[in-house]
Parts: sequence; structure tokens; C-alpha cells
Amino acid sequence: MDKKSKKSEKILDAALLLFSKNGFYATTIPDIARAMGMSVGNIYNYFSSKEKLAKEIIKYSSDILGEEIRKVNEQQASSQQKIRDIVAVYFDMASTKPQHINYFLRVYLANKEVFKEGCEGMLCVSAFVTELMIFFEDGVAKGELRNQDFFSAFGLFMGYLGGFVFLNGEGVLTKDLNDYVDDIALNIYNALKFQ
Amino acid sequence: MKKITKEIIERIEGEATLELEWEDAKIHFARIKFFNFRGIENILKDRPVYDAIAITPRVCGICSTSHALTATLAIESCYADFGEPLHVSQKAKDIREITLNVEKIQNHIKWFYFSILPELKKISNPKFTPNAFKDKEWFDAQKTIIESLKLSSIFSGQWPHGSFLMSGGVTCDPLKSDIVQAEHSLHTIISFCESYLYGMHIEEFLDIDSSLQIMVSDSSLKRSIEVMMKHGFDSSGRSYDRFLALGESFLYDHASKCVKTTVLPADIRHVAESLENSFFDKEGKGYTYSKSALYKKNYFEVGPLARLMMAKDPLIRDLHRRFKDSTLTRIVARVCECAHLLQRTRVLLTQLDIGEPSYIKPKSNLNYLTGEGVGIVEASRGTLIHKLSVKNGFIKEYDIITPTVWNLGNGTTENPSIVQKAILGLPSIEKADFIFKSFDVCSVCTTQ
Amino acid sequence: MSKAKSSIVWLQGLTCNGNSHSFLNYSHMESFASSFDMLYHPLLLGDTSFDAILQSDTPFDFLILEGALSRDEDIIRKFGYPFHKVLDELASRARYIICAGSCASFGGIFRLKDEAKITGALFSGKSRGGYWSEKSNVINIPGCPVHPAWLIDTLFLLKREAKVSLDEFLRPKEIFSYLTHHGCLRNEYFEWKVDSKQLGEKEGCLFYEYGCQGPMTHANCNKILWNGVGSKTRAGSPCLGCTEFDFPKMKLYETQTNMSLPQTPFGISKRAYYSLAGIAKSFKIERLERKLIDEKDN
Repeated sequence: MDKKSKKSEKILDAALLLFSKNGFYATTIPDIARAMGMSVGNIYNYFSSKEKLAKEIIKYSSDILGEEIRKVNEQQASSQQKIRDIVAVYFDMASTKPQHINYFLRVYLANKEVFKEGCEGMLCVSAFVTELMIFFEDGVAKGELRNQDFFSAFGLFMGYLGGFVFLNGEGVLTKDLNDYVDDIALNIYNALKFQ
Repeated sequence: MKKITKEIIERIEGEATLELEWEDAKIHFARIKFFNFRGIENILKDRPVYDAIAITPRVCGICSTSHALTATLAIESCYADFGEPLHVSQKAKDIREITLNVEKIQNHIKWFYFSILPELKKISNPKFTPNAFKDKEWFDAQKTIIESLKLSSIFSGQWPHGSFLMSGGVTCDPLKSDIVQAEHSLHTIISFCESYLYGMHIEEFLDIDSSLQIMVSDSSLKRSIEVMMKHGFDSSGRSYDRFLALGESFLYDHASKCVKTTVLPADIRHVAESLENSFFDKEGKGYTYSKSALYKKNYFEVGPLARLMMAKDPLIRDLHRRFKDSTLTRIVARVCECAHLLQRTRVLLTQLDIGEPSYIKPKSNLNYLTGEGVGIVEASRGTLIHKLSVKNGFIKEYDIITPTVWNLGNGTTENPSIVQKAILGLPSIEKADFIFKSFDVCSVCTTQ
Repeated sequence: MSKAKSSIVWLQGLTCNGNSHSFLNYSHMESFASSFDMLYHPLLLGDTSFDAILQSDTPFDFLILEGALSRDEDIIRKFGYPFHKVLDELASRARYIICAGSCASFGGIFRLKDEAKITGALFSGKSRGGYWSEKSNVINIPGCPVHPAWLIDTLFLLKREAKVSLDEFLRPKEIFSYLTHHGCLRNEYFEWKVDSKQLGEKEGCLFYEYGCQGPMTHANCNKILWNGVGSKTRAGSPCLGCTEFDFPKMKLYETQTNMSLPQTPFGISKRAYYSLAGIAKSFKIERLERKLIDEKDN
């Protein structure tokens, strides 16, 4: 990675933290510049607007999560095992790098007006969604998962995980997030399995 | 003195074996045997209902459009049974009819030039061995056939085994310029037929009301009539003089039967299939894979002669007056129908309104479609019937009655079928072979 | 095989005659006839009777097989003989065995009646080993039916001693390296993932709803066209995949999906296809949503 790319990634990381903590509108480019120890003008050399930066961040997060799920997809394992691995990857990310999931829930989903041009449909979350498509298709092809509409399965899977991370963020869970992996994975598997 | 001989009938659509019983040097009875059964009705069982539109054409390469259309109509009738009568646009109906007509046109030309004419040459001169690849007439006819199927393919995508039919209409959506191209093809076909087959304009030919008028100008048809008259085919090949046409046609108003010259309405309800004398017969008396079709327990002849008898076509009625349902009448009827089809197709192409929708999607959810349906089409060789029952979008039963099954049933000495009766009393296998071919026999349809 | 005419015997197994009728659509038949002798064809009158050919021991150049094959004489007989006697005899004298159509190549539709006993010449569906377990002079030209140019072009090339490269299913590569998708007039709708809204229209791709097998089916249908003018997709119908070993699949007019995801085009990974498809689907291309020819504009 060249120097400019490295710097870009650092800006993405810093902005991601601020956006996910304070929200899109409450975070300004000067805030990000301050966190980076850069001038505001210099930030604009990397990202021409705050909206542009926000769109790059969602792609950046989606790529990171997609990459983790891709590793799961490439394993020789049953769909049940893969569901467990995907849940574990997701919760691990929510615990160790909560900014990614928080950004998705609190910035991307909550401020669609920011993303409507340039992030149409699945455009900016394609890396992550594609991996789930591959997982689902493979599971049905192997006869392990029930054939159904993609979104009915996707909604069940990601809605459940997103909701749980939200509960965790609210501090209402009695146990550590990672302690729920087995039960949740089993619930998802039972809902999706071929019968 | 009785003896039995076995003859293979070749160069029909497939092959058949004739087992002939001779008495006093004349054919006393003929068992017509078809083998090589393929079991399409069984293959269709438990498949999604629309698959029938793609699979039934594979019953027969020469009438694939007819089968696809019959399956389509059968499924449409099933929708009606389910409570949703489908509306099919006039445009879709016209395109269906154009492609069906063209299939019959190519069939009749192919049969006449590839089978009947060479056979007649052999009959005139037994030492002559016709060879398709050494016969200019054959190549000219082949080019005309190609043109016919090009016309079809503008709408059907390809022939044989085109895909363009769907319950609710057709899938093609032709341009005005496609119609122009189709008209050019039709022009080429008509030119060939006028120059060689009829020796006159088709309008003039269709105005003829006396068979003598065919003979005024030289043509393949005239020459074939001369040979047939010379060899007694004007008096041989007669059957029951009973005809049936259950499908729709522009030639007549409604499904009818015709006994001698009296035309009466007919109804599919009186059709029954018989497995008697077939390998499907449980008593084991069978000798063939062909089923038989009966109307009110009787054998009826189907095909162009039947249709033109219903149509009260003046020329065919004149021939019938003179020669009854002889081989000659039957053969001229096929050639005559070709002229009607050419003229009708010209009209259909002129009036085709491409502004209408090609297809109107059924509203019912296919996954719930349950009911019974029947489709009837007048194919080249006569009435073709598909019957099916459907449960939740899947085929439970599929039954096909092909035209050849009507004409070539497996009768007995006491009650011979149409073709069996037509060859009784003949003195030679050569004559029997020709009369057999005058029915334009299709063995693949018979043993579907 | 040089300037002298090459000889052909055409033998039918379990068939609908569709390949024979397709052969008769060949538009340069006189040229063909000047280079080939059709010793026997079931629909054409010729100089020699079938029995005479069967009884002689003269070798010939091409045995063209049409229809599915079986060694079981209850399933198929020919001219009063068990079919296998006829086929084995003729095959032993033929220089090349050409399977014309999907039935002779893979078993086709009629194989479904009895998959154990009805096969293609060297394949039974996808599995190697059909009527013969191995044979070195077989070429498959599948299709339901075969395109006349596929058959006749191949015969000419073989006559000229040209090398005819074959793919893993013994199909000539010049024909079957193409996909039906190539040359389809609906390609732009495929690229931008604009589904056909309903049949009977020129617009929209038939891949997503209507079962089109074009991107997975090896054949140059949309390159050379049928009967000089058409193809299934040009007539608004889905490609049925008729040149492949698994023809006919179930549900020929409905796209088979796993969790809404279709089979990916031949040789394209799921990851590449799904991500590109997802991206393309995210855009609404106004031009492709409209009628190709809008009469109201005039």
C-alpha cells in the first residue's frame, strides 16, 4: 500500500470512530482533522466532502466484514458450522471493533439521505452481502438449508445479529456477547435448515 | 390358400412393419406394427405443467409446432377448469395459426415431393430407382420447404422444435419489418407451388370445382393424377368414407364429422382410446405399440381429406363424387389443402396487428393450478388431442392421441381400421405400400 | 478422404425424426450432395436398400446416429432385427460415428424413460459410458435438434482431413465453445440485470425469471441463427439448454434459484457474479426500463 492509501485508511479509521460515537451530523471535518492531527484542508485532499467520506467508510467496513465471512465461506464445513462461525465473527467484531457495526446501524441505516446517491441499493455493502449470498446459495445447493427468498433468510440472519448487538450496546445483556454465540447460531440454523 | 408375409414400410416418418395375410393372391388382412415406443406420456408425469410445451414437440419432428400448440391449448383449458379462462389476443391467435399453417404447408410439400412423386415414378417404371440427391425437382422442393420454415422461424425462433408458445399467448414480439420478411418468404413458396405443383395461380386453383380443370395445365399434380389413374388408384384405397375433424379450422365452422357427404356436428366427448391389440393390452393379444382412437366406437378418417369434406370444398367434393375416398381423392385433398393454407396465411400476414399484446399473463398462481384440460389442433395429418390433469402446477396424467392413431388403428379382420380397410383386397405389396403412404403415415407420432 | 465423395449411412434409434428434418433445412444441399453419397437415409429415397447395405461388408465413411440407443431389443428393433445387431455391424464398418442430436449424444429426452437401458453412444447423461463404454471415432453434435450447419460443416471438415478439436463431451470446439448467450439480442438487459417483466416482449432478460439457460449452454445458436433468421431467445423464449448432457432439466420455463440466487454463467465464480449482479441491480437505468420502440414518441 502506498503512503497516500495508508493515510486514507487512517483517516477512515479515525472518522469511523467519531461518526459511530457521535453520529454523522454531530461530527465535523474539523473534528476529524483534530483527531488526526491534520489540517482541515489536507483532509479535503483525501476526501472531497464529509458525505464522500461517509460513503467510503461504509464500503471500508463492508469490505472488512466481507473478508472475514469470505474466510468462513472458503472452509470445508457444514452450513451449521458456518452459521456458528459467521455469528462468532460478527460478535467478535462487535466486541473488539464495535465502531464497524455501530457505524452500520447508527450512521448508514439512520441517515439514508446521505447515502442515497452513490450507495444505491446494495452498492456500498456489496462485499459483505455477496459473501452471505454465496453462503446461502451453497447451503441450499448442498441440501442443508431450505430454499426460500434471499431476503427472508438474510433478514432473519442479519436482523437477529444486528438486534442483539443493539441490546448489547444498551447494556441490558446479562452475559458477555460472545457467550451467546452457540445459542444464537443454533436458533438461526434451526430456522434456516432444510426440513 | 393363406400365407403370411412381412413387409417393412420405410421412408414414412419412421418405420412400420406390415404383416400381410394373403388369400387368393389378395390381401386378406394387414397387421400394422409399430415398435420403438418412447413413452413421452410417462416422461411428462410429475413434471411442471409448462414443461409439456417444450417436451411434447419432441413427440414428432415434423409436427412439432402442432404438438406444442396442442399442449398450450390443453393447459389453457386447464386454467379455465381452474376458474380462470385465459384471454388470448387476436395477434397471438393469428401468429399461432400462421406457424401451424406453415408447418402444414411444408409437410404437404415434403410429403408430395419427397415421398408421393418418387413413389409414383417407381410405380410407372419399376426399374427406376429414385434418388433424392439426383433429382432437380427434389432440390427445388427442398428450397421451398426451407423458405416455409424460415417463415415459421420469424415467429417460432426455429423449426423443428421452436419455442414461442405459452399459455396466454405467444412469446415472440415481431416487428413490422419481420412481417415484410415473412411475406417475401410466402411469395417464394407460392411462386414455386404455382409454377410446379398447380401449374396455375392459387386463386385459379381454389376456384376449380371440377377435377377436369386440374388437368388443363401441366403440373406435378396433373402428372401424378395421370399415373394414379393409370394404375387404378382412383378406385383403390377406399375406406369407410367416414371423416372427422375435431379441431378448429378456417375451412369450416365447427368440429364435425362427415359420413359420406353429410356433415354433422361432432364432440370430443365421444372420443375413446382403445388399447386392444396393442402391447398395452392386458390380455396379451397385442402386436404393436400403436393405440387406436375411436369416435362413438367407430373408426373415422382424419386429415386433409376429412377437413375438406367438412369444408365442402367444390374440387374435393367433385373428386369424391367420382372416386369416393380413394387414394387419388386423398392425395389431391392434401395438395389442395396446401393452396387453401397459402391463401389463408397471406391474409393472416396482411391483417396481423402487432400493436396488440403477444401474451397476457395468467393471474392465478401457477403453484396452485389444479384441474383438467384438453387441447385439440388440426395438425397436418388430422386431429391431434392432448389431455392432461394437473395438481398444484404439476402434471398428474398426460394423454396424447395423434392423427395417425386415428387412421392406423389396430383393428381385426371383422372390424378393420381405416388403413387396414383401405388395403384389403389389393393384389400386391407395392400397391399397399403406396396406399399406406397416401395417408402420410407418421410412425413416431404413433409410438410416442 | 479426398476428392471422391464420402459415404454416409444414417441410422435412427429412439427418435422423433427432428434431426432428420433439421438436416433437410440445410440451405446448400446441392453442394452437400456433390461431395457426399447418402447411402441410406430413413426419409430419403436412395439407390440402395437398407438390407443391401447391412448385408454387404463394404466400409463407409460416416455413420450418423439419430436418437437414443439401447442394447435391449424390447426397447428398440430395426428392420426386423434387434437394434444392437444393426448398430454394431454398421459401426464396425464406419470410419467416423457422428451423433446427430442430444439423444444420440447423451440419451436426451427419451433416456428419461429408462435411464439404465437408454443412453447416448458414449455418454449416459453426464457419465462417460453409454451404448459403448469406449470408442475412439465418436463425435457428438448435440442439440434438440442438431443445427444442420453444425452437422454438415463438421462432415466437410472431416472429409478434408481437417483437425476437428473436441471438448470434454466430444463436441466440436468451433461450435460448442460459444454460449447461446453470445449474440443474444437481450444481452444489455442481462448486463444491467433488467428482468423480463413478462413474456411476449422484446425487452428484458429471460435469465432471472423464465429459466433461460443461455449463459450456461454451449452452442452458437445466436451467432449463426436457426433457419437463417431465428433463435429461441429471439422468439422471446428461454434457451432450454438442449445441447447439454442434462437436457431436459426440470422446470424449463422457470429459473431455478437457491435463496433467489440463480446458477452463475458458465465459468464465472459466484463471488464475481453475485457482486457484479448486486451492483448492477442497484441502479435503475431509465432507458432499459422503457419499451425498445415506443410508438407514442412519434
